[in-house]
Amino acid sequence: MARAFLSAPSGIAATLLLLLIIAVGVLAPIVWGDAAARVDLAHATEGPSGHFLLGTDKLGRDILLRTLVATQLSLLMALASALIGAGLGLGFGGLVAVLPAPARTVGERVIEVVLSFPPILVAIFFTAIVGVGIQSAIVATGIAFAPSFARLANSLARSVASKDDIAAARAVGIGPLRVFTRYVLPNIAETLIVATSAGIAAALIAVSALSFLGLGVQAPQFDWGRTLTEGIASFYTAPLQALAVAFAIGAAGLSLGFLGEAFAHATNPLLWGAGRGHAIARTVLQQSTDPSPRNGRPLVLSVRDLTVTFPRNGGRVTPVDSISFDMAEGEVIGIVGESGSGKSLTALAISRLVPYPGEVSAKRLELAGRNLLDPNETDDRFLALNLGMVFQDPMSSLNPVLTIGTQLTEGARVHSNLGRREAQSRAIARLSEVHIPNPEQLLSAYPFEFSGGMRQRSMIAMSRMNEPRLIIADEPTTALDVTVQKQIIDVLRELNRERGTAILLISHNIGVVAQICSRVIVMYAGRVIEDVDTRSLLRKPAHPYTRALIAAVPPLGADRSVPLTTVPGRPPDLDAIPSGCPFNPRCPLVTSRCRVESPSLVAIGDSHSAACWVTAPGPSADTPSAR
Amino acid sequence: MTDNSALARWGPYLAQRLISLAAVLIALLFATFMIVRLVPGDPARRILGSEASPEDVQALRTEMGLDMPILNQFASYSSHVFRIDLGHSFITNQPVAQIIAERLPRTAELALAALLLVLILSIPMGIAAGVATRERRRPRLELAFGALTSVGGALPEYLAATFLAFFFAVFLRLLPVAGADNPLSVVLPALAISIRPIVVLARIVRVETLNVLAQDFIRTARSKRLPAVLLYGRHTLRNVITSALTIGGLVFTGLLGGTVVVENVFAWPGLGTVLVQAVLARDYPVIQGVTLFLGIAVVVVNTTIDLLLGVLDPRTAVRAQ
Repeated sequence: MARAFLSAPSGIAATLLLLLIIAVGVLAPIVWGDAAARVDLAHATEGPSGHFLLGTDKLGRDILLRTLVATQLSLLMALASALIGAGLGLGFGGLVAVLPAPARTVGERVIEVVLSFPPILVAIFFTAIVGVGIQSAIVATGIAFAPSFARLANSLARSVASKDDIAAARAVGIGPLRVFTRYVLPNIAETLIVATSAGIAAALIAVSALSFLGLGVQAPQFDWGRTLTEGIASFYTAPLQALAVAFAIGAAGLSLGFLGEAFAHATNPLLWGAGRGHAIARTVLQQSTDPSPRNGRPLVLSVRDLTVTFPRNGGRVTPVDSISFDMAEGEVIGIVGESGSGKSLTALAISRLVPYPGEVSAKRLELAGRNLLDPNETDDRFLALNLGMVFQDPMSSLNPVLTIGTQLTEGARVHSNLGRREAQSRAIARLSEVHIPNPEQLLSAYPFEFSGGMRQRSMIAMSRMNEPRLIIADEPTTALDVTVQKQIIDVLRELNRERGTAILLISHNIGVVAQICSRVIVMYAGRVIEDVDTRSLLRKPAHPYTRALIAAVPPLGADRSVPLTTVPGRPPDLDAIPSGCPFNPRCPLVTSRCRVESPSLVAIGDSHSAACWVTAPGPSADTPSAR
Repeated sequence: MTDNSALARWGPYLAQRLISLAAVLIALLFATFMIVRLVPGDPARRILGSEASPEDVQALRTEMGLDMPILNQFASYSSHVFRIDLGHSFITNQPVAQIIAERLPRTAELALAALLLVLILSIPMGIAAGVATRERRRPRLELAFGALTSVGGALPEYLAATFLAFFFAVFLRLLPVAGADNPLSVVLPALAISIRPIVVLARIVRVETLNVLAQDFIRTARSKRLPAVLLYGRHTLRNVITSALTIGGLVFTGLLGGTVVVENVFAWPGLGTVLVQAVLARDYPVIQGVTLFLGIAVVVVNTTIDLLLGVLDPRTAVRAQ
């Protein structure tokens, strides 16, 4: 931890600056103590000169020397009040944490309430009681900062107090005080010491403020706060005095503050993390060629060599690798594969939602005959009117602080130019379509007030608001329990039959997909390894991976005590996709060729193609050699 | 949503907040009451100084009610406070309530100007910084933002005031450095008070924006191809505001504390200058009255923010039950 801290540039700079300030604090009063106090009216209010580097104040005292000498008193006061604050706060906060529940709640509430008052006001309040002066300022500042230490100690202590050994200590009847000193304190000491040193910065600022207000150090003694007051009184005649002290307080406060911050960085690297995210990624434009209708029906979606890449470790990984398929109007197609197969990214690439910094390229990517890679040809309105999205977990995919009504109507109001009333009645109609009872009441409700199934129905209704030709549903049933899963699939099927909406269903569960889709695309390691109509899929799946996926589907009414079959092995890491067929390390039928040459998708029947040297050798392929 | 269910959702939450408010107000009343009683030694002697005659000291003791049992004293103090009778200043003999009434508009003017600056600047700054640096885009901008807000956040109000006063009033001679006679006088103090809250809040808003932008529901909003106004102004802002408001109380009390100090830099005739002068002069009725008033302001604002939070994020009310 210490190494991480010192390796941060701000940590080094802050440490050096602080060491310099401490050195000044120790040495300045010894070397210049007398000179700084010497009144020399002959040289009053002079500007900077060789003799007085920053000039003199109205009593002819050297401004620079006074600022330097004042360092000691300021730092000592800050240190003392931080220690008082830490002592009081840690004692109270730590003890509260180990008290029994009702007393603890009261204690924590008291800490919260006192914390809500500005520390400087609390400090002034206590100065009013204990009087004006150095000791009073220290005590008042210490008390003012005690609550924040108390809260810190309390939350730290509570996090350790719930641990097993402490629960055990309590169970055998060890009292709260002993629990605190023996078990809690050693666990949180390190963090507390750091917090205390960071607290010195705040104490320096506050104690200087008290002196600045005239409530702390009294003449002829002087600290930075007092010197600042004098400086402001003669701002127009000798502005350097106020500025010099202000810089001194600022530098000390900053270096102390940065120290705490650098430490926080060292201990919590997530502090500035951006995390994962979703955004429109850069798309690479490529020439598109004419699409051909499928089975006589016009195409809603045409994909040729769709590829998605992400930078990683200096290179690029390719989670979606040259996949191609066509989808006719009104068709229901499934894409299946394990997690990491690239199926969800395929959905995001089609809907232009690939997270930054992913890059999408394709020979052709067309929605209803228009090029999705060209935002001018397919603008936001076109996408909103032609493509609806349904995502996995309806709890996290719906905005928790907006009503269902707002979330349903907003897209239609923007892109279908509906008024509030029109959009609401359309939302009610869409909610009825997905069999939600009393849809009028649902509009003013928040997502958290409903069950998962109801939320997912709302989500489907939302995707239907602009009556798109195509709905992409990315794992729409995964977060739901089995009976609700079936209901959602029924809703989707009904939408397709009655409204003619094409549906691209993404799922890891080949059983779910087979229930509703007329055709299934199986993906593995970013590639399509089988593309097959559902009847052939169930009768004679070609690829060994497809067979394994089917075997992994639990039969209806299966004995729950028998563990589920899974596909043996793990999907490959994107950094290390095996050469040859990417499935070869897990394949029961693997041949030597599979390890060297990558099979391409070849037709093995009407509307059935697969990429496998063994089961789909194709017309031009050599006969595979036996293992 | 029927009125009944709204009441069911809000009733207990509202009641809980109001009970808490009452408890804190009573505690405040007691704390200000105790100021005089906690002064080491005889408060009357400390107020009058060591040269005062024993008769004068005894007279003051009687006047202050220090002879009565402490519970009676508290009852008497409370009943006076409820009748907005906060006593008279020892120095000017002016009613404390009147002093507060005279000074309050000045402090309110300053605090509100600062609050306005904070709200107008920090939330858009934080959201813009969050949007610009989401998913680790523009790392150099992120670094600059971090450095700037660290420095600004470590700059106490009175130092900001000093630098601002030097630059605008002494160096450029553009704005008045002291007093409240000129309508422009409020600019420098308000700026000095607001700098720290602005950067602190902007930082929190940025981190919160990053968190919100990484949520699944933002992807859903993007899938609806909403314009930036709705995507950031509605879906992001509503969630960010909730967490910004959670520390909104802290920001406000920070502003109030800053006002008390900065008023003294700019000789601003508000409650802060009165309070400091009263502490220096041991003018206890004024200290009591002003601290009680400022304390009530803090508590009322915090309760209001709690209630607002409940409206903006309906889960708050449910969770609290």
